[in-house]
Amino acid sequence: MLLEIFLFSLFGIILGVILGLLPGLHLNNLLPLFASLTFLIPNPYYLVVFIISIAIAQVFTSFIPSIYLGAPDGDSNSLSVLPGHRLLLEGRGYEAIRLTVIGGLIALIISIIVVLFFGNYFASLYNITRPYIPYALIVVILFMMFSERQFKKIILAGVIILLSGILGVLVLNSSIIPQQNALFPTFAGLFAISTLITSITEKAKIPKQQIDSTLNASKWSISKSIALGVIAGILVGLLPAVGVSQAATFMQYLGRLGEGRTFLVTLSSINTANEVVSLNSLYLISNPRSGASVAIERILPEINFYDVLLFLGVIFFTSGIVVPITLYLGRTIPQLLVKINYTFLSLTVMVFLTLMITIMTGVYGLLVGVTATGIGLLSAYLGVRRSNCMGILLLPSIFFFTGLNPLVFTLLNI
Amino acid sequence: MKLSKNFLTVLSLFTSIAGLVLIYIASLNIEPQKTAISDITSDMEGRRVITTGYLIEKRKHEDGHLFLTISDNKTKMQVPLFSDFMSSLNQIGITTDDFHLNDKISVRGTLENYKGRLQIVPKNLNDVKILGE
Repeated sequence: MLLEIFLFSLFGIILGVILGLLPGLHLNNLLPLFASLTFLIPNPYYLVVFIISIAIAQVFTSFIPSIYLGAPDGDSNSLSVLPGHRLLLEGRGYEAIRLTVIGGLIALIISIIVVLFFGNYFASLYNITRPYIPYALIVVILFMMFSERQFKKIILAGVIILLSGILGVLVLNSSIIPQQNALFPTFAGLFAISTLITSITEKAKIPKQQIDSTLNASKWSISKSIALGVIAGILVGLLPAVGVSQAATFMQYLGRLGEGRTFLVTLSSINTANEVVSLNSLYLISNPRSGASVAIERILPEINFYDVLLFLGVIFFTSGIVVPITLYLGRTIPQLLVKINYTFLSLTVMVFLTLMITIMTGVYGLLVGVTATGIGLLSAYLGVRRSNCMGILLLPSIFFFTGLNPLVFTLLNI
Repeated sequence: MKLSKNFLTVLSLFTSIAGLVLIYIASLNIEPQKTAISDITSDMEGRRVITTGYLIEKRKHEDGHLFLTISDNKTKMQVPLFSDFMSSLNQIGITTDDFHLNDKISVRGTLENYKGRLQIVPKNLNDVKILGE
């Protein structure tokens, strides 16, 4: 059985790396396919190991396209440039990758220790906080708006949250596209395609990248970012609708981190801690907290402590293999980027995503994708953070937790 | 040709709003996906649902309402057909007697909560179909 577990984990790592490198695509898009293949696999644990390995491999490698693709022109308004893109435009893309790997790996180890030793308290923490979730989500929305600081931008951020929220209510609660794929065209449009269009229209060029092991951030600031990232990642893993980017922005303010490099460390720490908690959420809070954990629940209806030990072991094994792969790809991809036409590459990825949306969700999915792209672009042109587009999950979640859903559905007649 | 930022802002605002309007119109006109009775939960309250089940109970109210209970062998669901709805059904020739126990019934309607119990309330005449045994 051990050999099979390693083999399925390796298959998962390969698929996870591929999914991570393809922007917009996510493990969730393939889960219905895996669920239908259960009968082909002799032991349900192999499928669970496969899914966990994909999830962890994707968490690490997905930073590669998000840093190397979709960068705007170097002369763009600095406030709207993402921290990873800013480092890429300074020739420090590989440093950005290294920071995400270091933050992610250390946060992963710490969060595994936290899950092992404090896992029993998670259910009480979840039950205590659950009634306050809508208030927490409203605070997150207000924080997102007011962190824009200027009055005009606060209003504009509210407009983006509202538009993406309405899109979320319509897409997540109607039958316009199958629910298992509902997030694909929305997230691809809001975050991936809109970023690629900005890059294409600005005809961005990537400078030669410096490949060295220098990290221009102090050990103290990296450690602080990881600690805050783990706390935020655990909370994000337990609370619905709060996204990794908002949590990172929140922690950046809370910890007075304020610099692009530490933001990347916090972001990757939250990402991996969130993944560890959500993969084990069935055991920790008896509630699935991600697409992968929903699939695990269907495959293994009963999860005990020894299953959790297996999951954590697979997470360790996967990260041990995927970290050097991510660093290797982080070193080699920039050499290709300077040789090829960056605009053409962005265009190709955009066409690929559009095709995938059409194939997976049909004409209505394409309509959702175009609308989401419009909202993502609007946030960029208005000069407010793209993370305001997380209204797509926040508004529907607030309606759900405050019991307003029946009223909203009746009013909209959907 | 370089497009001005103002033009791009207006264009993206137009795309966002026009897209939302079109999605809303589409969602009003697209049939909800068929859901098994056992998969219908209180989280879906207020949503339009379509389901099928076997008629296991029918109860006539003195005010002219007809209360149906359908089941998929796992879970039961109440389907109230209020007097106005029944009158309209009568006009097209469907009466209380046409609903036989064990008939397979297809129901489309809004999921509502009545005194802690979920029920599907149909609105249009073609929302209730008797599919036979």
